[in-house]
Parts: sequence; structure tokens; C-alpha cells
Amino acid sequence: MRQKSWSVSHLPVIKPLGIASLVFLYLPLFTVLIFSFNKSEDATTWGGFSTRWYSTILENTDLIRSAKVSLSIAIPCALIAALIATGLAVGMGRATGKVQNFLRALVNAPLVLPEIVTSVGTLALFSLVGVPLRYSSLLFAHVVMCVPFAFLPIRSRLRDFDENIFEAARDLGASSTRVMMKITVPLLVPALLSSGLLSFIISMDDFLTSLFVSGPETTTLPIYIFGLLKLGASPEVNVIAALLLIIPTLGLLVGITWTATRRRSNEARNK
Amino acid sequence: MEQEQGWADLQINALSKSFRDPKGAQVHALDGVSLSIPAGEFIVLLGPSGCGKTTLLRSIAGFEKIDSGHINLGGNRIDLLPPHKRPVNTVFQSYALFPHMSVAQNIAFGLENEKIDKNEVKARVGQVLELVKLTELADRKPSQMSGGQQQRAALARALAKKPKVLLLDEPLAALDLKLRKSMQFELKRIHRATGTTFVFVTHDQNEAMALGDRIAVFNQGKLQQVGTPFEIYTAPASEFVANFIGESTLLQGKISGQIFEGDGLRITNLNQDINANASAKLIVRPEAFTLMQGQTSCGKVEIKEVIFAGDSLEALLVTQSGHEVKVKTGASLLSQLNVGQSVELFVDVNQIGQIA
Ligand SMILES: Nc1ncnc2c1ncn2[C@@H]1O[C@H](COP(=O)(O)OP(=O)(O)O)[C@@H](O)[C@H]1O
Ligand SMILES: [Mg+2]
Repeated sequence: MRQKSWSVSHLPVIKPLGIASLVFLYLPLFTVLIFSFNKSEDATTWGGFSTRWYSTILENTDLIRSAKVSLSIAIPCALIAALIATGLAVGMGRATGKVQNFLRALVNAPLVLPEIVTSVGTLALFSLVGVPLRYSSLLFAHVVMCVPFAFLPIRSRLRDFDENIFEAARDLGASSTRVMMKITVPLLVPALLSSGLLSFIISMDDFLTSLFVSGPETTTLPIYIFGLLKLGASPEVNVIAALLLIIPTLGLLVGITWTATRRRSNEARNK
Repeated sequence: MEQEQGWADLQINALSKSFRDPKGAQVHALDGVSLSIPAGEFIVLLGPSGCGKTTLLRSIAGFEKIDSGHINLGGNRIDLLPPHKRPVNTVFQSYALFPHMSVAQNIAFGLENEKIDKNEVKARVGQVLELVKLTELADRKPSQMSGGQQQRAALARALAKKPKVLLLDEPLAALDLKLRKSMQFELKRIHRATGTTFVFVTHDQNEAMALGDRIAVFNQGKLQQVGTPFEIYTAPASEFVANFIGESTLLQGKISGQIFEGDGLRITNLNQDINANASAKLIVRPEAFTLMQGQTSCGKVEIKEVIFAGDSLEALLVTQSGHEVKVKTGASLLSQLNVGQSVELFVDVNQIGQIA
């Protein structure tokens, strides 16, 4: 008789635990989606189907303003973080041995630091140097926060390459600028996209750092939502949450379909 | 394709390069290597893994900063130039094709760096594609080609630059045996067609024999011997070379008056170029020995093992002093040889080499 090897997955509690955690992960999402179409004034009791709250939030100028603030931070933050991360990743590839290990530790450390530490630190630094809490200081704080994350996809992509291709390019007579423009950057495009997207999401979603570093003119969407909740659960919150769920999901679907069609047409062309 | 840039000899002069291993100890990857390679030659750098072949190739290409020595090409010193200014090109072992470009774009990349006219680029891409027989696959991406095809693409890309010297680092190592054999013929053909100097690195002695006009044997960063495959095989300069290339038996003993005595054997009538020596070392290839009557006798040996190899017999013999001797002899003796039997060993004195 064949004896099955033992593993953690054979514990009798694992299956119900797994199912329960999936339920607890998706149940709130469904609740929020359904209750965003609630007619009732009370966010937590069902009063029939309606889209009234969707039209209400479109007229909520505070909400729209905070969404604009969030976007105006997240978009440049994504671009700048991806750019800085690229420089770091390429530079780190050139460093060797101990220097490289040290640099990598330096870049990766913020990933495991509690965000509260970095945000308090940033605020302390800003007040110490006397930087006013404006758009640019918030953007700066977000970029600093995103760079370690933006760095990951780029570094891993760079490491996937055959190191020799950069030498091959030099060998074939390309100057270092040409190697960068014709080889490094084109090959990094997918990694740049995921790095930018990651930074965008982190910035859009960020609460702690923004709470510490934002001023009255720079209330971001998460901070605004938190403010709404302090006045009791409003049906508008459900709608905002639902939109934040629907819009990225749609974006992702469009993206996936687009790349799939492109790949298929590429394959067709090569046949 | 004609060689257009003029002929240029490659001169490597007292090249040294050492690295620090992870523990901080010095590793002499190249230790005073001097080698002169005439234009148009197909030279093979041969040696076991880690002997410094890649380091030498990378030093010529400009990717390794040498510690001392210099490299001249056609009389001009090139070891101070950056890689992209040296008139040499490399075929990397991993091929190193640009994954986001088609084969044709890969080849054109090198030419576009030279500010060559667009039509000329197109013409030259076409020429090299034809040379390596890849015309059909010009628009394929590297990932859509087999290993052998990628190999050809890498070769075409380097050749399109019309380098004075083409450097190839174990380019066939990743191919299976059959493909490797056919690529060896292809490389010889392409070498003849272009007239370019080929510096080819391998650790495979058969490949070195098959390809090289000359072979340079390396060990532990030092050049051991340079010569034609025939010279290297028949007259190895050291025990290392003798053992690394083909099989051989080392005999140690005393030579005086053209007579060798040692390891339980006695060989008379040695050639005039074998020097008298109280502690001499002789190298004898298995096919220089025979068990058939006719050549010079060496003495009695005992048969330890006989292997039938179709066209010949390979036998392992033991002399009276217990020294092992490898022999390749006529297959017709098969029925007469039995393990444990005592037989007389003969040798062709013209095929005995002496090492210091
Ligand atoms: N970048 C490097 N850092 C440290 N040691 C190296 C480096 N490159 C080569 N070496 C060492 O130098 C020696 C020669 O290596 P290499 O030229 O690659 O040999 P081969 O190509 O003949 O196998 C080896 O001992 C290798 O470990
Ligand atoms: Mg090597």
C-alpha cells in the first residue's frame, strides 16, 4: 500500500479555515456592491433597489475634489517612482558583491518597516526643515513610500535577462546611451508598467502617510472617506467603495483583453 | 564575402589577470599568456573548465580589464579601447540575442551603430543571413527559433560587423551531438568564406581537433602548448597536454645510448631527437604500441583487459614492474589474446615523444 506523505494540508481544520477566509474576504465586497444600490437613507438597512446615491455623489464637490487630489498625486507619483526605481535597479546591477547587497538591503528595508514609522519620520523631517504641508510635500512623501515597491518588478525583470545581452550590445558598437535607449528601456516596458501601476495603487490607497503629511488643501480620497465614516455610515460610502472596486476591475479586464489580442495577432503574423 | 578591412595579426603579449575568490584569495585566471595569431587563422583555445579561456576572450573583447600585458591588432594597441571601439566581435555561449528584436533587427543593430547607409545595412543583413542560411527566418524573434538557429543568428550578427577577429566562447556547447557535428562543418565553411580570424574556445578536445588550424592548450591560466592538431597530438609538450588530448602512457626511467630502461620495459634504438637523461619521461600513444610482431620489442607484459572496438582492439597491459600501458592494436588478434596471458609488447620508435 502506498503511504501518503504527511503535510499541513491534511489537518482537518485546514479546509474549513480556508473556506472561511475566502468567505470573509469576499463577503464584504459583495455587501458593499449590493448596498451601493440601496434606496434607504440608512447605510445598513435594505430599503429596495435604487441608483440615487450614485447621482448624489456626482454632485458632492468635496468628494470630487478629494478624488482629484488623489489622482493628481497618484499619477505623477507612479511615473516618478518607476523612473527612480529604474535608475536604482540598473545601477544596482552594475554594483558587485557587498556593495550590491548593502544597496539592496537599503532599498528593501522600507518594505518591512511599519508605515507609521516612515510617516511619522517624514512628518518630523518636514517640520524640522520647515517644509509646508502642500501638494509637493505630499507627492514627495508618496514617491518615497512607493519607490521600494516600484523597484521590485524592475529588478526581477532585469535579473531575468541574460546579462550578456548588454555586453553583446556594447560588443556590437553601441554607446551606453544607445544600449539604454534601444535595449534596456524597451525590454523593461512590461516591468515599468507593473511598477507604475503598483505605485499608482499604493498611492491611491494610502491612508497613514497622507493623514500625517496632508494639509487642508490636500485631502485625499481615503482621508475624505474616513471623515465621512466619522459622521456615521453614509450610503455614499458604499457607492464610493463600489466604484473603487468596479473601476480598477474593469481597467484590469480591458488590459488583459488588449494584451491577449495583441499576442494573438503577433502569433498570427509570425506564422 | 571578402575581407575588406585588410589583414591584421592578433598579438597577445604577457597578459595577466587575477580575480579574488569569495574568500579573498587571488585566482590567477591568466598568468603571463603570450600568443601570436596570424590573420585569417582558425585558432582554438582548449583547456579544462576554469583554466581562463573565457577570461582571455573577454580581455580581447574589452569586457575584462587586464592587470598587465598588452593586446595588439594589426600593430595597433587595442587593450586600452572600450569594447565598442574594438574591431572584434563576440559570439556568446548563451547567444545573447536581443529578445525584443527579430533576427534581421538583431543583425541590423550592430550596423546601425556605425552610421552605415540604410540600403547598405539591408544588403549586409541579407548577405550574412544567406551566409548562415537563415534567410527564411529573418523576421522571427529569438524565442521562436531552435538552439541551432539562434546560434546561427548570433554568428550572423557578429559577422555582419566584418570584425577583424571573431571571438567564439564555447558556441556549440549547448547543442546536441548531431547538431554540434554539423555546426562544426558549417563553421569551417563560414571561416573559409569570410577569411576572418576565428578565436574559438572549447573544453572539448575532439571539437578542438576537428576545427583548429592550430590549438592553444591552457591550464590554470598558463599557455601549455600551441601547435597544429597533429603536433599537439603526436608531440605533446607536457604530461598535462598528453593526458588532456587523447590517451597516452607515461614511461619514466633512464635513457643512455638511445636505450630507455624503466617501468619494467626496455626500449632500444630510440630516435636521435630523444635526449639522454637519468630521469627521463616518455609519452607513448596507444596506437604507437602494438602486440603484432615487427616493431621494436619492449619486453614482456601481462594482459589485464581487452576491449573490442570494431576496427581495433584496446588493451590494458601491466609490465613486470606493475606499470599500466594502454595499447591499441589490430583487431585480428582478438582470438589470440586472453586476460592473464603474457605477451611481447612492441613499439614504433618514431612515435615516441619526450617531455621535460
Ligand atoms: N568575475 C570573476 N570574479 C571572480 N573570479 C572569476 C571571475 N571570472 C573568472 N573568474 C575565475 O577565473 C578563473 C578562470 O575563469 P574562466 O576564464 O571563466 O575559465 P574558463 O572559461 O576556461 O572555464 C576561474 O577560476 C574563475 O573562477
Ligand atoms: Mg568559459
